[in-house]
Amino acid sequence: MISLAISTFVWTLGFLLETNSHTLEQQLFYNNIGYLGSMTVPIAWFFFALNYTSGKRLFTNWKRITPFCIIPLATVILVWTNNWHHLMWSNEHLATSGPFIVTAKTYGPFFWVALTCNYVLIITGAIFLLRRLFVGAPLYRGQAISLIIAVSLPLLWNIIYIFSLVPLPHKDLTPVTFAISGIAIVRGLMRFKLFRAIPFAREFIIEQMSDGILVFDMSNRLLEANPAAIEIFGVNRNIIGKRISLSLLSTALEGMPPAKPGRIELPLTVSGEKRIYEIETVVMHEKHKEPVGWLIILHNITERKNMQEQLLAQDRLASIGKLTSGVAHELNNPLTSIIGFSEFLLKRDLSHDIHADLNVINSEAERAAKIVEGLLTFARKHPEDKLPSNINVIIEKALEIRDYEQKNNNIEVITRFAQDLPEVMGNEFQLQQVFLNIIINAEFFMIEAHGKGVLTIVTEKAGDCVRVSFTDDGPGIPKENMKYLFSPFFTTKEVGKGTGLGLSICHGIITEHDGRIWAESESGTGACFIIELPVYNSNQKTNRLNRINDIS
Amino acid sequence: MVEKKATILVVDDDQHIRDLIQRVLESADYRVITASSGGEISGKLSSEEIDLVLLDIKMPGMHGFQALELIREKSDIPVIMVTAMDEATTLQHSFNLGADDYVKKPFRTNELLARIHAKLRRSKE
Repeated sequence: MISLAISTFVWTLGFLLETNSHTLEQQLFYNNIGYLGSMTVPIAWFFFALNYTSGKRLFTNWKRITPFCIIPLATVILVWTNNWHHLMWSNEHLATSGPFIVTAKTYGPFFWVALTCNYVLIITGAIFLLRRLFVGAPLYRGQAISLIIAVSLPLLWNIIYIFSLVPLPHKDLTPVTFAISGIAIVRGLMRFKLFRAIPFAREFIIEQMSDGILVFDMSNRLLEANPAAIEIFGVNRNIIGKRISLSLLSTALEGMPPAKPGRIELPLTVSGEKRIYEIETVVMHEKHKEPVGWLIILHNITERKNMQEQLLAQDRLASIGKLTSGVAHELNNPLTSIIGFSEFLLKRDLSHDIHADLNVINSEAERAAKIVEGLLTFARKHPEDKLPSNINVIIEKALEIRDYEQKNNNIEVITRFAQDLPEVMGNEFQLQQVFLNIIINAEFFMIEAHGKGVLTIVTEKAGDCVRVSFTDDGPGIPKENMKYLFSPFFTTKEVGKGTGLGLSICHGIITEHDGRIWAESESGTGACFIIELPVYNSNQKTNRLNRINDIS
Repeated sequence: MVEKKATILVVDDDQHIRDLIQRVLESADYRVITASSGGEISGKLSSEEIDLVLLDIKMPGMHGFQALELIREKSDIPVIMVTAMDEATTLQHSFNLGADDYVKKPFRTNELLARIHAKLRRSKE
């Protein structure tokens, strides 16, 4: 690129000196110097255009450049040796042309070869740039256009001069025009150098990015869709170029106005997987002009959403925990009085009916005390005694407890335990309580739904966690209940059959074990409760759930 | 020889609980003195011959832990913490400060009596 500027400079220098000299010898000498420039400008231009449009430095080594230099080199040599062979020109003499004293000459055969060569190089270079102009990003069109104008003006002038299309002045002003263009080009170069990689980087990024991008013109013709967008909507690439409505891409987009800037969140099903997308519509304007088109950017925010919801749920449970703990402690004092006094009174000699009533007071107070105890377990944050434990063994013990009931109620239990399951740090009693809770829940809902059921329990190692899943074939969990599942006092069982504390206690215990518990269910096809507990590692005390809590 | 009645100091800010414990203990033939706050303990300890203290942990004014430290500065008598706060750390802290046992609220009257009886028997040995 610098060579383009240097060549132009040499050409112009030769021209200026030639113009200012008044003898034929001087004029010819400077004319010959000018040729050094005029023969290198087209080559420099050609390589510049090629390098710019290919985005690679194709012509940096001399082996590739040399073949293109043969004719120009020969021309320069022939120019300087013209006196012997007159291949370039003959019959040179001074003439007056307008304000200038010029050298008039008859052009020889090789002059036309050199000229053709130059035109071919300049035009080819221009074609490369033109092609870029129509396939490239609009941002660079302005620059490419100005470059082409910068080059075609001198070219045009040159044609006029060589073929004497305009009679006066009979003077080759091409170098002057080229010098002017040169300034424009060199100025542009600083930016081209900077941006040379960008048009290609942009294409690459858009092709590779996981965000979907759709580009429309103002008549809603789909101009471009990157592979991610094609995958998201599961459509055929041949819709590109067609005028389409957004609902054609996905029924979820129905009602979304085209070309209206904004941002919405939408659930989309992509290859069978439910995802949440943030969909942004941007209208493209050139500066202070009418919009030229609009685009849609689809950003997958499923993970972020899930994380947010999880943090929110944890936050909610934590504040409920604090409140619960306070309330539970306050309830313990009055309960102590009720239980204590009624117990005390029951020891007295009372009439049968009073004794019976008092018994109700006492046992109901005991029941209230149990609920309070459950609440405290849910709210508890302190570390209980934990030991390295085998989850398989704990589940087996829980199943032994339920064995009799299960046989009586036609509950079949399928267990698939990983034999090499690593140990977890846990309180065996608390974990058993969690598993029992989930098992009993599953039994309850399966029996209620169809009087029998199959419960599948799977243990496995999942990353740095032990994962346990309990899958039943019960009625499943309605979607609207999902988010309240682990909240205290949330129950779907009828009054007296559940306190609504079971799962909240499970959540409390598992969180206290630095683990995670969640449910997956499609209403109607059973429910699956999944628990993950960190693998016991004697060197490592912290773990990810603590970190999540810290962040929230 | 007729054994002298053991005297038990009951410290709880809740009047009903004080009454309850008093009646339960008196029915089991103990002598009961009550205090509604930690601040009263000092005076009772110097004016009365006390064999055992039942001490609530969560009280307005002087906290049960402070009261326990105060008792331990003066005396070695058995102290049973009576508490609705059953967290391991709370209990552990109580034992570190010199408590001998604890009873969780709500308690069964039989359990309370059994624990008191056991502590008194040991302290007499």
